[in-house]
Amino acid sequence: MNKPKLTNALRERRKSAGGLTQQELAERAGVTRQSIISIEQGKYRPSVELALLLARALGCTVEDLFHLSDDGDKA
Amino acid sequence: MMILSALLVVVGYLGMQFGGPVWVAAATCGVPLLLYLLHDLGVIAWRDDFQREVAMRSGMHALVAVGLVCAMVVATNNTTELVAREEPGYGLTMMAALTLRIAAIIWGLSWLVQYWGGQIGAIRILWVLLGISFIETAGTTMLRVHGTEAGGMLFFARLWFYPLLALAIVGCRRWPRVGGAALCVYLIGKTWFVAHSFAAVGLMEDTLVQASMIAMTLPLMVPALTLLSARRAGEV
Repeated sequence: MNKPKLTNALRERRKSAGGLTQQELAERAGVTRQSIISIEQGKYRPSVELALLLARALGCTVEDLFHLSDDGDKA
Repeated sequence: MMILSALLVVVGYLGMQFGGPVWVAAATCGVPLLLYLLHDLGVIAWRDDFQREVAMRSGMHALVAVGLVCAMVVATNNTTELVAREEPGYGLTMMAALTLRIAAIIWGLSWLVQYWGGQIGAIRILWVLLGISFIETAGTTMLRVHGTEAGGMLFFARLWFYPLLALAIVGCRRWPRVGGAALCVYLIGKTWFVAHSFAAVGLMEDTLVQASMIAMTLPLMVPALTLLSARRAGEV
């Protein structure tokens, strides 16, 4: 059975939202820059609350930022 | 807060050269306990969930490392050797010092690499290493073995490490593999130094002390290997 893999378009959305820097996005969402870096690199899965905050900061929906792809690792 | 914690770790680490439970406590209270307790008591807050998750994961790594070391000590029957010593409380102090220092080191390393990423984490670890080496050189050479053959040897052997650390620090920002290689050479050199040269001049005759020093050096292979695996700057 294939386990869906969580991917995100945070970097692309950040660039398209007026070229926000990681620091600016972090300040808008109220987190550290390291959190943004780790999310963009796929090393950290944000909580629902943080996902909503990021979506609000970028003016989009959570679904625009995070996707479940079916080509993930086999469970 | 990080500076204060790091200072406590260095003071505790140096203090352990002289032994004593007070120093053990100082070494322990550095990063793992002080920060964690203050956060849990609500005196200071995690800046976000990511920071809290990294701290908890680092704690788990430290626990696993301490468990492994304790299992190794028991498996090699070193506890019998410790308890059999005439000095009262020696075995307990040694075991406490060993486990707590390993916990502190693993916690700190894990935190730095997870929070800052492989490359920046490695650079910060190298700066801390450089600082500790410098204080060790100044402190232990001047205070403990000044004027002896062993003291002179320790001093010059440690001088040999500085160019390697400097190369690793300078190299790993732009050429991570060079930094990783320099760190590897430093670690291998230090392990060899602790394992052979200390005994040759009559220092560190205690095999458990030697083993614990090597056990505390080996985790540094993690940032070294991380840097070696990078193809270009900023990848790790």
